[in-house]
Amino acid sequence: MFDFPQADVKTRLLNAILIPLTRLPGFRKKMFSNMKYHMIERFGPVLRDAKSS
Amino acid sequence: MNADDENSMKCVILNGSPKGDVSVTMQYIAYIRKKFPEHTYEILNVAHEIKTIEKDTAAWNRILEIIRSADLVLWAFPLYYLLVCAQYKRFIELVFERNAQDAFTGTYAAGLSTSIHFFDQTAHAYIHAVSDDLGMNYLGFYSAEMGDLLKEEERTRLEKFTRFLITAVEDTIPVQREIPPLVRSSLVYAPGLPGKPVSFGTKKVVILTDDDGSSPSLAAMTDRLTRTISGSAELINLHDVNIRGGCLGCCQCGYDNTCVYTDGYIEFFKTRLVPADIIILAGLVHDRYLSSAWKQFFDRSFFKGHTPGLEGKQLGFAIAGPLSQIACLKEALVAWADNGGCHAQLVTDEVPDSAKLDALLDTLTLRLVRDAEAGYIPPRTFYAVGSHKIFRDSIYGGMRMAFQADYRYYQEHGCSISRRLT
Repeated sequence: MFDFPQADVKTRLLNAILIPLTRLPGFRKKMFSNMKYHMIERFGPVLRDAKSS
Repeated sequence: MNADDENSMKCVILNGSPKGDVSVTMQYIAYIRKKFPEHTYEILNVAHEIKTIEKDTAAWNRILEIIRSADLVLWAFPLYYLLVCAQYKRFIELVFERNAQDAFTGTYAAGLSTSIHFFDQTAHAYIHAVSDDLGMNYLGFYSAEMGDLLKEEERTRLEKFTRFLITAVEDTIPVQREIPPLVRSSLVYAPGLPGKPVSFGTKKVVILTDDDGSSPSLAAMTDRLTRTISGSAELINLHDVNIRGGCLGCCQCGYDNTCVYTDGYIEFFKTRLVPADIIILAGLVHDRYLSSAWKQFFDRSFFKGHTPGLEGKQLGFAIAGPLSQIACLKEALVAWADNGGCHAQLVTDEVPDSAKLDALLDTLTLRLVRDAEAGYIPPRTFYAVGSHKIFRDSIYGGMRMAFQADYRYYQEHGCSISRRLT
C-alpha cells in the first residue's frame, strides 16, 4: 500500500523491455488486439493451483 | 436453500463485464468456485449479452427464472467510469422498466468489483441502493484491486468474505434496509415567461440531453435553458448521436487513444464538445443514476484513457429527478467534473414550484457565462487530487504497457497540475 511505484522492479523491467517492442507494428497489433486475454492470463497459475478450502 | 443438496447454496452471478467470461472480475469468481466447490454457481453474462436480452423475451425470461432460483445473487462487475458499465446499467433499467423486481425480492445479494479503486465506493453505493430498491437482502460488497488475486493475503481475505456470505445465507440472517426509497417530486415543471436572455457573447454553448419524451420536466428544463441563452446554443440529443454501443473494455485505445468503434462518437466528442466553452448536461434520473444512454456517453469517453478530455470547461447539470436523495450520483457527477478540470454547477427540479425552477435555471446560465468569461475553474479537491495520484502510480507501473497514451500525456503535462494548485 505504501510502496512507491518505482519500488516494483519487476514491473519496471517488464515495461523497459516490452514497451519499446510495441513500436514494432506487428508486435503492437498482436499485443493490443489480444489485450483482454493478456489481462487475465497472469491469473492462470493461481486458478490452476487453487484447492478447495 | 434452493439447490438440491440441502447443504449446497445456489449462487447466481450477474456478470457486469462487457467482456463476458474473459474478464478480470470473472477470474475472482473462478477462484471462489474452486475454493467452495460444494455450492452451485450460475454465471449470467448480462452486460455482454445486453442487446440480446433487450430484444429476446425468451432470453429475458430465462434469466429471471435463474435469478428466482438463487439463494444468493452476486453483482460482479468491473468499475467503468465511477460506476458499472452502461450495458450493466441497462440491464438494471430493464428490471425496473419491465417490472421484474419480484424475481429479486427477498434474495440475498452482495457486490464484488475489480478496479484500481477509482470511485469504487460510488459504484457499490449504487448497487447497494439498487439491491435495496429490489427488496433484496444486501449483505455487503468486496472491492478488489485488479491484481489482488495474485497476493495470498488478498486471496485469504476474499475467502473470508465468501465464507461470510455463505454463512449468512445458510443462517438466513436478518438484514435491514439501509437506503430509503426515493421520493419523487410531484412537480410537473411548467416554465413561465422567459426571463431576460443571457448573452453568451463568443462563448460556445452545447446543451446535451438524453430526452426521450418520457419526462415533461426534463423537456421543459431543456427548453427553458435554450430560450434563456441569447446567441447560438447547440442542442444535441444523445439519441441522435451515432453511438453503436457501450465501451467494450478492450483497452485497445490505450496505445494512442484510437477506439475500436468506428461510429460517430469520437468525431462528436472532438468536434462538438471539445470546442465548447460551456456544456450543459440535462438528464433524467433512472433508478439510482442517470440513464444508460448517459452512462454510455461517459464510458465511451474512455478512449481518452485516464486523461482529461474536456479540461477547463464550465459544466451545468440540469437534472430531473431526486438527485438530492442519491448521494452517489451527485458525487459521481461532481467528481467527474473535478477530475476533468471542469467547474460543475447543478440544478434539479426538486423545488416547490415552477417559478423557483425558472429562477434557478436562469441563474445557472448566468453563472455559467460569467465563470466562462472570467475563466474561473475552482481548485481541485480530493476527488481529483487523490484520483490523479492513483492514476499516476498505476500508469507509471503496471498499467503503463496498456495505457501508453496516458503515460505520454503525463510526461508532457506533469507540471500542469502543480501549477494549477499553486
